[in-house]
Amino acid sequence: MTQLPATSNSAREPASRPTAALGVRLIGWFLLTSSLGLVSCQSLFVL
Amino acid sequence: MTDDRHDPPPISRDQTKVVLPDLLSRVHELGQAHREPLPRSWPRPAPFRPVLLWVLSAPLVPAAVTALAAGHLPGFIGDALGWGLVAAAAVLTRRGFAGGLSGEPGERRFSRRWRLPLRNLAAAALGLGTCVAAVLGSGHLLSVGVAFGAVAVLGYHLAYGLEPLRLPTPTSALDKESRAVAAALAEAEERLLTIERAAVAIGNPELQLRLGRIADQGRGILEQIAARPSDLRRARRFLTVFLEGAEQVSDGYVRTHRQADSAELEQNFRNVLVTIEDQFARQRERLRQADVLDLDVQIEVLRNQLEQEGIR
Repeated sequence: MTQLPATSNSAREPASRPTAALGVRLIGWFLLTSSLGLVSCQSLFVL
Repeated sequence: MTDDRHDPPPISRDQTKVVLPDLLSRVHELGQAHREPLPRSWPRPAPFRPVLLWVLSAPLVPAAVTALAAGHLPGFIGDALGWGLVAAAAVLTRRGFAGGLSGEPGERRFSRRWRLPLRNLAAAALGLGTCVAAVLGSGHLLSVGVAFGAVAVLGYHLAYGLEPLRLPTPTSALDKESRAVAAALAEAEERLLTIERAAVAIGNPELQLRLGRIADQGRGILEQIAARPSDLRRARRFLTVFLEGAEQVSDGYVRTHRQADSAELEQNFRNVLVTIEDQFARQRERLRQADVLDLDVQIEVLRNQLEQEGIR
């Protein structure tokens, strides 16, 4: 009797956390920091 | 596999070249269909939290307070509104990764093809919040604020990812059999969602765990049917008897156990859940074995054909 392998298949599961490569996420974090972070800090020190 | 099987009619070498790719694709298809889903724990693990959004927007809170103390109303509005929008983006991101707004314990995969793209809404809120904070809070020009917002949205996309919009498939584009399978899967998924809602409402950890395992088994069977629609005929009994029974029993228990909270009722319910869980596991295994048997027969037929071709 043929036995098919019972392996996990994560590709069919919905993403429960970011799945992009670490390098891409690092660029995303950098852009977020240099836009939202910069604006936040400017707002704090503008007055 | 069996020695008493009649030999199939011989085929030519050209026909073998046609049959073999079909069989290989079927092996691949069955391998895909029988891959087990990741084991799910119940309750499900805590969803992803976008901590970076909270950290980066945190200075807007003291900035709003400072602007208000200085009597600078536009600054206060810009900082407060900007923080509110970024906070909304963080909440939407968390819910987007968790699976939805409604707080349903399980995701829909067959009964609704389109859902609100929460992470896309989060990106829009983040861009708008950054723009508002830049223009009203920091005093930048509108064009500069828009540029800040665009950079924030791009960063969000790279860091967390936007969701593709999945539009519903028009039913007219499906043939009759596909529509029947889709309708059966959607109905079965509704029943599983009722079971999952019952698990949450019962509040008993042990019964919750059992119902969760039943729902996971049921979802596994639906995945098998979706991957191999021909399994629908084999799983009819499961869909019409066991799944419907499990839904009615769990829903009925939720409605009655508060009024008649007796140990006997709980024990009876527990016994039924054990039986249902066992039946679900057996059904899943039966589908698996039936598919494997189909493949075995095809392999045996092809082997005999190849042997006959070699003898000539």
